[in-house]
Amino acid sequence: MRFFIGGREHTINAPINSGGEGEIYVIESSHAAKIYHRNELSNERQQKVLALCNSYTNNVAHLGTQYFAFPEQPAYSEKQIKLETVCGFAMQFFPDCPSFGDINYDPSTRQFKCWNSIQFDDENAIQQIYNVFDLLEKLHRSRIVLGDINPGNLLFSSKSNYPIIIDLDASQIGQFPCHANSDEYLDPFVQQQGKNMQDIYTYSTDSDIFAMACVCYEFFVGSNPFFLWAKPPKGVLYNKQMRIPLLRYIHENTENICGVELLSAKNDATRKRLEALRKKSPELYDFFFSTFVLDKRINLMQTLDRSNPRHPAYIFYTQSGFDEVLKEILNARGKLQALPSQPATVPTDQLGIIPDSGFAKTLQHATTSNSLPQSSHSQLNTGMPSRSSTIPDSGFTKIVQPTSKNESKIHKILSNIFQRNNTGQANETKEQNKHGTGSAMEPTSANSAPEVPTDSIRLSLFLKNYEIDLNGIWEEV
Amino acid sequence: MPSTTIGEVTGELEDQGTLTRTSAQSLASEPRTVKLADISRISDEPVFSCFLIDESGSMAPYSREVIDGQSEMVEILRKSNKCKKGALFVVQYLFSNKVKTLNEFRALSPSGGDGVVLLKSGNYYNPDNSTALYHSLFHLLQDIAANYAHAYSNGVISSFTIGVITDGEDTDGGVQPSEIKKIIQELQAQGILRSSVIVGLTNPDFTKSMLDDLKTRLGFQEAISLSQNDPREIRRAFVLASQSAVSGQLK
Repeated sequence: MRFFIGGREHTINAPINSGGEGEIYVIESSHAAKIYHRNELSNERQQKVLALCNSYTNNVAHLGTQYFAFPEQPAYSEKQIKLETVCGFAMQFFPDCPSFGDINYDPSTRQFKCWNSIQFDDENAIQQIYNVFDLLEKLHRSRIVLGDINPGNLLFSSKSNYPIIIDLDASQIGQFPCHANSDEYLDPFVQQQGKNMQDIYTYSTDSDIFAMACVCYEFFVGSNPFFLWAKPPKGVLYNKQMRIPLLRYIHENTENICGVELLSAKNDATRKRLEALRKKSPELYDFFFSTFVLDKRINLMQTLDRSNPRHPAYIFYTQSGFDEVLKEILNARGKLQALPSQPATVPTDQLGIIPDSGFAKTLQHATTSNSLPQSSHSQLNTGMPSRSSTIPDSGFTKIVQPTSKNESKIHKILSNIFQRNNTGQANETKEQNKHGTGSAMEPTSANSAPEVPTDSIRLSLFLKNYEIDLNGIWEEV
Repeated sequence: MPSTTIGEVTGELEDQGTLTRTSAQSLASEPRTVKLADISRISDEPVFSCFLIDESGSMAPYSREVIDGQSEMVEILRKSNKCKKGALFVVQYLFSNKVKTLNEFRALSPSGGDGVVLLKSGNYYNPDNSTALYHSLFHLLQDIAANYAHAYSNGVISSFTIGVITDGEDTDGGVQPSEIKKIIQELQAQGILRSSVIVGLTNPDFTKSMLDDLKTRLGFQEAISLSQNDPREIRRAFVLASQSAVSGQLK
């Protein structure tokens, strides 16, 4: 094989790897070249290579060189630099880095595979899954959608103890689509949507999250989430389309879903492995559950509590004091929520309301709970899960407060209450005087009744000074 | 290694609706016992990659390239994700005037020691005689039917790929190509046969148009023509055959 990179000629015979798109050759100790098969070369691919190489500096500035193998320089089949002669590209080479498929959990030996003395335990494997999603989030923030994700696209570096994402030339960037796909990891929503006129799928950050979740599940458990020993066997693609992973059988505690009967004994080893995961990392277990069963597509890193050291913003939150502010917000919100709830008859359209965005509740949930909301789980009983049915409760609550819109009404109600109380107390005083038990010298309540202000600001202060609970009054009204 | 009779299997496949009665009867017309792959330890859907390598007399000048190319092919397969997951099974046949099984369906291991024969490891490849392509393909289809039924009854779906490397047309007959075509089309329609490719080493007696005609006659999905004159192209034939076997898997 002969090609030119940066004006320099390279003649190399044996590729170190060969794939569906091309072959990989080592050109220097730190660099490799990917040379496409002739039938894979097209004008679009050649343009994509040039575009990726042009954005190399920008990509490296944002994402670094340690964890990503971005195309760096175009490779030409001839010395003459022309678009038509682009045949591949040079990229950073990561020697001695196994793919995730080389080091994943092996159900037959019940331990992670060993590759050149690299062997994970459960704790380290879980950490690597978080690291993978950290990298994915960074790519997504840079508007890079990987598209085709499979265990071969993920390497592990024992030097950095971190994953590396390769095959970035295949990713979906800007106007350039991703031509490759691995059916068993393909998001069922993308599959449902189908291919476009050019016979290619349109991927998204959501589909990346799903595919990466499949790869990471396989890495930890040792089999595809939708692989089942069943009767009749339907296959991974069917099970994926029908949303029947083994996790769903476990959650619903059933042997039969959609007519697919689980062969329990044969799935027992995977079931036990999942049980081990649930014990070691309930957050990760829930993430897999929400992705494969509830059809959620939330990056694992975004499901973390900010006080979790794995959270990317952990250092910022703990050192800037922002977490303290959040705690105060939560406390304040908690106090407000502790107020008596208003009756259904309150005309809230006329009385001002402070809508709760649900932010506090979400934060509260994130800080106190490791499991999914019960409401999310319960929807399974309704059959096929759908996206719309998984929208969590926003915690929207209404608290009556004086505003310019309702000030006259509140004023009127409070005045009536005070008048009623004064009248009652005045009558009581009259009765007491009649029987000689009261003092005629004491001022009547009517005389000492506070004057109810009319504007909303002073009404608020008034309520506060007299410790009046407006919601409670509304209940009385 | 467990085994089954072809008559038993074709009955099951007909009952399941996998094969039509005509195809089932066609496969059962030559009764024999088929050895079955051991799928008891898999944790992923198995892919069975089947390779038919021409060992007729006309291949004699290219023995070295065939032997080297076959090793390269197996090495590529060993790097595939399916192999790493222990779910890639390989069966290899050499065919001349009769079909010779190099190895039955074996789970390919990334590190070797799996019973998958490398031609360079012994005196396996001795080109001679005629080209019984149709009969060899029929034999392979019987093996496919038996192993599919075995996996199905055990609770998993399996899929198959066929790669044929040849430098000429069938010379022996014995089986009608239309029978082969019908079975292949039914297996493809059911998603059982994922890929079927003939890599033709073209020469004046076996031109590209003859290769395309053969592909159509047998119902194959793809035909790749490479020149028999260039030794590198023969090795490339094996690389392409392996890639077609693990397309969508090999990254």
